[in-house]
Amino acid sequence: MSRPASLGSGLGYRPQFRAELFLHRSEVDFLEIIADHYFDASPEKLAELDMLAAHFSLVPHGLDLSLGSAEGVEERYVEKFAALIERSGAPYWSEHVCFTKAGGVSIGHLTALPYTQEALDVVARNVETVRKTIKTPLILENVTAVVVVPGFEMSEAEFVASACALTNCGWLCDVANLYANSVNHGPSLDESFEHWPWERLVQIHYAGGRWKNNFLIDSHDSATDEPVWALLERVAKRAGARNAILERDENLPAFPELLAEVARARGMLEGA
Amino acid sequence: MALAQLQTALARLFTDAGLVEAFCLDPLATARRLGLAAKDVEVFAALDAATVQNFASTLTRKRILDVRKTLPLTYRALGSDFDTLLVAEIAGPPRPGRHRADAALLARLLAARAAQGAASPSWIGDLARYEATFLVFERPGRGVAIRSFHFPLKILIGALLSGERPGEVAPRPGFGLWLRLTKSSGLIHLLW
Repeated sequence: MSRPASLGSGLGYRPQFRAELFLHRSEVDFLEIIADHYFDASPEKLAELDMLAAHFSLVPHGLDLSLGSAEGVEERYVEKFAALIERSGAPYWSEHVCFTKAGGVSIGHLTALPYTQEALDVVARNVETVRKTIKTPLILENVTAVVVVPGFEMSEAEFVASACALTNCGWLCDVANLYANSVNHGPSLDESFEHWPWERLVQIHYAGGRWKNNFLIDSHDSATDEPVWALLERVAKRAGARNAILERDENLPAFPELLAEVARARGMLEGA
Repeated sequence: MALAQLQTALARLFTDAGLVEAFCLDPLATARRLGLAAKDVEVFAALDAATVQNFASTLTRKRILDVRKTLPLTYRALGSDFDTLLVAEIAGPPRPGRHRADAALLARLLAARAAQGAASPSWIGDLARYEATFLVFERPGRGVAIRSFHFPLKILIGALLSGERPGEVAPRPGFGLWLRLTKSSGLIHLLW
């Protein structure tokens, strides 16, 4: 696996801060766009995409490809993704190691797979199918497991590492998800740390979460928590990470607060 | 095949409030009802009920947040009633194109209530229909839509955008026009 381009410290694009983003163009190294927002899009949305692509390196990030669906991936969805990647000139793209639909039911959220060989084989088969249409490198992201399916045959770290190895994909390490899963379900990060596929790390995601009923939810609605920052720094040092994206979906703060987080992450990438 | 069946059962469980309730009362019986293979019945029944409930409520919250963003003025006008009405309307698994489908459902409900004189404020059906019409034009393709309204939407929208929460107002007929001449041209919109 060859490591894709070094892009720096960027932001998950949200239309609400478009104007301020362009005012602070030099403080954001690259953007991640939610791919699904540009499928079957209006001319206005496509014009927005073209404008972003003219000023930033873009990395499309998928939410609903459902690479872990035993029923396979939807051909039409893959075709839309391929068209978006081509239009945006992306150096690579990302999706999650999870499933989002099954039996005609769309769950509407990233859902953890059982950590089994059967699920790994499904992911490998689906990635192979996708690669027939999309040649641009794909990186796979670890998700928050709200519900852990019993009967697992390996740890989450081993599962994600095997998925990346079997598919020869890079890894998008979501440090907020790593942290949430460790505090919600264990094992501790110290125990699992060396089992993650650091040699395949291409990009980091970080975000703030929210506690509810003693459970940490990956809500992307607050500033990044200090333990997540500490983990980001540890990951950057361990793996020499060069790309990081701040994810913020709800309760958007004043834009300078987002820029401060992007700058802090950049410092950690550069200090690694 | 076993994984496909297990995933289908999980997808149904996470998106069906009635099934979550049944699962919490009797996990094994619920698992058997879903037609799983014997070993998966055990796996399914051993799911932690608290995390299942937690995940199901997270999914509902996510749907609410998405519809709030899709119908922002209607949300502003209704406040917490927005979530209550929406949750009652979107029971069951999400439909394809979830946020648009959920928003359209709520808009239809509010319009129907307004037509029956059961909406509060009485202009909320007009506002929801107005916002929902934009969703049609978020997709590619040319088209035209004309909507008639019973209340002065231009004034109400202005008030909502400036942070007010208007109460009842006197009816005043109006019209809205949405027009996209070609599939690549900009949307023309007028409101009278």
